[in-house]
Amino acid sequence: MSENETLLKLEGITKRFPGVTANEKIDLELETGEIRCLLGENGAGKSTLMNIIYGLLQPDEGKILVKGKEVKFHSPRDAINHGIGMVHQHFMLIPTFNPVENVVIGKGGTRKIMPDIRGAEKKFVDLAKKYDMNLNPKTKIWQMSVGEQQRVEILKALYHGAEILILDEPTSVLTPKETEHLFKILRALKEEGCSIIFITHKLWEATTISDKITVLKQGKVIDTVETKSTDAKSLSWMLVGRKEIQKIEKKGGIEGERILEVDNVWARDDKGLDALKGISLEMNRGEILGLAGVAGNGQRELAEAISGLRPVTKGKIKLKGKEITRCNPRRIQKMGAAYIPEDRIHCGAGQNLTIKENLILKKYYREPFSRKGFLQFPKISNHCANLIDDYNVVCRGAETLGKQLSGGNLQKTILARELDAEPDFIIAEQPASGLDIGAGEFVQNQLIKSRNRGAGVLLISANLDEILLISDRVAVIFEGRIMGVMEADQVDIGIIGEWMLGSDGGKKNAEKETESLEEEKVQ
Amino acid sequence: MSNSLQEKVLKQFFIPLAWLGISILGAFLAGAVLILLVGVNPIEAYASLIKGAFGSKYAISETLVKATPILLTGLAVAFAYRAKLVNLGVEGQLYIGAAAAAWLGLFSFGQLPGFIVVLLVSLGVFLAGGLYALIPGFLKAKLNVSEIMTGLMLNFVAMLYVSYLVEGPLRLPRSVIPRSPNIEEVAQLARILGGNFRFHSYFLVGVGLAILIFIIFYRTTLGFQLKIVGEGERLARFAGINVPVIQIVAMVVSGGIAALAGYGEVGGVHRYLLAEISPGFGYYGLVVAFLARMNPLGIIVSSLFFSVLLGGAETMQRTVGVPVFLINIIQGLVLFFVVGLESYRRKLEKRKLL
Amino acid sequence: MGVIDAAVVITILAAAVRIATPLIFVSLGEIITEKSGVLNLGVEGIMLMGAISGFYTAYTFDDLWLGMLAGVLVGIIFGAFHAYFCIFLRTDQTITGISLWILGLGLSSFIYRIAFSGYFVRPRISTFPRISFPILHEIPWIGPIFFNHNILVYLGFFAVPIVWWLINKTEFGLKIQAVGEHPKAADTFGINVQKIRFFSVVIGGAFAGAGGAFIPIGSLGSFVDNMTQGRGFIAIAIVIFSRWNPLFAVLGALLFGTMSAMGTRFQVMGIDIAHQALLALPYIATIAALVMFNLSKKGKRGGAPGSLAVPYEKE
Repeated sequence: MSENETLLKLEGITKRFPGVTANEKIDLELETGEIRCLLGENGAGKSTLMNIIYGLLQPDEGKILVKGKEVKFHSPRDAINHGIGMVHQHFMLIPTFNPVENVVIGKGGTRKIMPDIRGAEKKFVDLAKKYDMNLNPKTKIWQMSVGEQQRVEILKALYHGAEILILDEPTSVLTPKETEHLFKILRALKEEGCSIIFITHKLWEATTISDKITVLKQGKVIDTVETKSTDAKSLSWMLVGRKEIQKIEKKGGIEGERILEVDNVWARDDKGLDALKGISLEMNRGEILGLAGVAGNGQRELAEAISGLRPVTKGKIKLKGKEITRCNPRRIQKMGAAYIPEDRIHCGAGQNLTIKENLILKKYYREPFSRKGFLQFPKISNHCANLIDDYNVVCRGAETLGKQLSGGNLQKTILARELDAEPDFIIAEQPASGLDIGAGEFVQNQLIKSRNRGAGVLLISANLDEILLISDRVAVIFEGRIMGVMEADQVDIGIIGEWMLGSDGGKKNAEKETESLEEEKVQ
Repeated sequence: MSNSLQEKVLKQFFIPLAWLGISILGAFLAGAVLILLVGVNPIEAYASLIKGAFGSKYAISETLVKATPILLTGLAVAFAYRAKLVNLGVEGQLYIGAAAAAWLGLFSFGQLPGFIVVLLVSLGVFLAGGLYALIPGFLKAKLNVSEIMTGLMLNFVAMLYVSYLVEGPLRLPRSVIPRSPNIEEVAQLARILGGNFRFHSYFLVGVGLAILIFIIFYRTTLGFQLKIVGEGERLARFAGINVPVIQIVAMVVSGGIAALAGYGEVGGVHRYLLAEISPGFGYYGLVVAFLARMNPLGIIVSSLFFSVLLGGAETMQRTVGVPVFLINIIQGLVLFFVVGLESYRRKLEKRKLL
Repeated sequence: MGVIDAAVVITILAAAVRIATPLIFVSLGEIITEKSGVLNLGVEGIMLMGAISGFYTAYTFDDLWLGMLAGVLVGIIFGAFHAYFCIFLRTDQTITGISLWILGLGLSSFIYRIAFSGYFVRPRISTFPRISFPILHEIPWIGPIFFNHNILVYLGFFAVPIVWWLINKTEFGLKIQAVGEHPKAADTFGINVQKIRFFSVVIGGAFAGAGGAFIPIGSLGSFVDNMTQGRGFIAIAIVIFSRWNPLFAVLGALLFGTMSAMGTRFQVMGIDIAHQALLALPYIATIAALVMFNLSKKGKRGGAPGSLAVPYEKE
């Protein structure tokens, strides 16, 4: 290893965006045949750095050297020409094309009038065989599974002669089996002399696949370490920057009445496929139920089904003992349910609405905010001023537009709206994602406050740490099914991890197990 | 607080107005170049334009007559656009309104007083236009079919329908240019300045509607719901708003208002129905609504501006020989200036955020 | 069938082919434009500009081909105008298109008034002569309907497979589709999204200009105010009807042409079917087609390009 030459070198890369420095004086050296993990939380600057290497962004300062020569990338085409390939988090493939068509124009074209589709297809199929990837070159991308699409992305990069492959959070959309397959491919590529930069915020991935790990935090490199000579503990210390995550005071569990019953619920996703396949859950007042799971396993669909935004095809949902399966969202809100959606930009708050409008989004029709169809602005203004104070929203007044707020303040606005009415039941979907630590803690504190006054909180998060931090019970969702439920103080991380990966501890029927687990709970 | 109020007034009123002024000025300058190319003194041409629009009581009346349908269709466009629906079908809804006015206006109303008849006919016309706009509204709300395209298609259908009416069932026998008989006198709209002037009561109705819609937009829960739906379907659903219903309401009301413009033409201007009842008032309405940035009160101003152009154009052609079509050119150019400056403003705004 | 005999049917269908030709030109261009993700509602205005510039040039220089060329060139200029606003200034494409239409509507008639100000008789040109295809035009039915037209009609139909080939088989076509479907992905491929879109809109403009110029040069022989009578908008409807497929666009154009020809013919013959009803059919058919596409499970977008009318901005 020591004799390997340096393939890619970054020197003092700095990139500023309005208001933030996304990358600050970043140095990085990548050797031939090395798998490097770039570890960091959301917003640490990983993606920005990779976009710079791939020519999508240009650095404000600093140098990029490929094989010792300084290069300047004006577009991805330059990067591709220097042997750099990228697999984006959201795949950059034309959905209506087949893989070969994607590959053919994948480097900005061949400068021929008619591309040699047949030749490209042969080369593509050969390449796929070489790395043991089973792909039909004639299937359109939109008809492929996520894992297949990712393989096409990798092949596209290889086809164009990539020696350095950048993968941006490649596992966040994969099932464990697909992840395994991906790791196999990556190791094979390493054997061929390919260098890989692997971006992730998951510790175990970093330690499993990489040779070296570089930890990024708030745009700066904290350290680069050999994977062999480190462990999860010291990595997480670097990542979080303090020894232990602060535990928030919780009152003893309130043994409240049943607040939510989800009974064998089925629902479809936007593509019309079954996303929920018989979910059953029960929750009481005064508890936080953490729903863990890899993103995209039906979490959003479940949240939407409960809040009335998504039709339930089968099964029953009861809130406070009353069936709400076919109720409209407003009915369910009126019954005391609140929903903090993951998608703050399109769903949680209006970008072109003022804070005031965002705050009365769900109660504009109620007295005293409106009377006989007319909005009562003095009352609304008062109410909003109070909420802005109470929830510490930093803004230039109640007329500030949603798009002018930072992520944290937008989320505080949403919290203020959702929690102000003291709802009995709260769904919080990834409530702290994308926020800085302070704002994230504020959000978590608010959820605990609600729990302490007797509300039931369903916390949906892909971040296991967050779930373990504040939940009373932990459930795991996988491919639209609940794999199991556990008391938080008896949590066995090993089992939770297995559930998240879809293995159910020997039992074949996940549904049955869920039921039996639920029965145990009741007893 | 007064500071922020000042800032608000400045931001929401004067700055947009200044931008609009620049656009209009630019378009007129470009028009002046064209006039010069024709070999006419632009100042002379514009002077005759102004004289044509305001030179006499009759000229002013005619200018306001042209403003009326543009104002109404402009309001119609703005109402639908509050929910981010582009009602490109206002022209067709205007034609349907005109047809409904002709049908209803040919009824015998017995001894009913005039204003009740006008009210009844207005209501019927509003309903007819609303029902016609229900087609694109329903298709958009329930099946997500583009309201732009269906609206456009229905314009042609409506025009053909009116053409059928005046050539067939409603044709005044022996009329050279096919037209319907005059509608009943009680159903005609009052000519406010006297019988010799075509200026009629619907201009005032239009102004009243503009104020009403302003109040609806900014002071009522309906306006709030329209705005939320316009902000995004997911957000609106999340807020508990029944999105299809609001979308349909937006389109139906919009269609109803556009149809009133048709009644204005049949009941106030011509007294009868003819195949070319509108030279594209609906499309002008789209333009004025856009110029006023969908602000109902602004639409009063922008529609008056447009009607001045239309009203003075013929005089300009007669006296200095600049073709009336210069007006269309100026209209098109104003729009290009507006959208161009809008994009420039966005750029500035972004830089300010830095 | 009474008065409707074979000769009448053939006359109607032959007229349908002629009426369809400008629609084919314009909708082919619009397909290219929209495939790249830009909506051009202003083709009606471009057609009018193509018509006036084509007519004026043909009249002045007494050269029909030069007229067609002028129409195409003006179409390119106006296409570039639309493209510049929509792509580089990222303006609202609906409003920009309507502005373009109003501008073209005014400018074409304005130019006509200025250029032919002293004329008492409407100036006319002789249109392209008919060319009967040898042998083919003798085939019963098919011959007189399809193979007895002027050269521009043949050109229009010939352009259909060419455009299909351009979009689906050439690299440029793949790029057009890529920037229309997923501009961000295309950007990461190193494709210049704005450049490809610009060219697509310009090509669309050229086709619209040709379609406009066809009307005076290939069919009417004179210029009349607003002579396109909404055919630009009909072409847009045909594009949707055809699900952005040039081969189906021909069918849409022929359907419209047939209805239109039947309407006129029946009116002349005094047949007691309201010709307006026939003329309305294509519009209603388009709405029905839109509804059907949206109802069908597979194509929620009705085959529309993924980023149609969405401006692209690099981060």
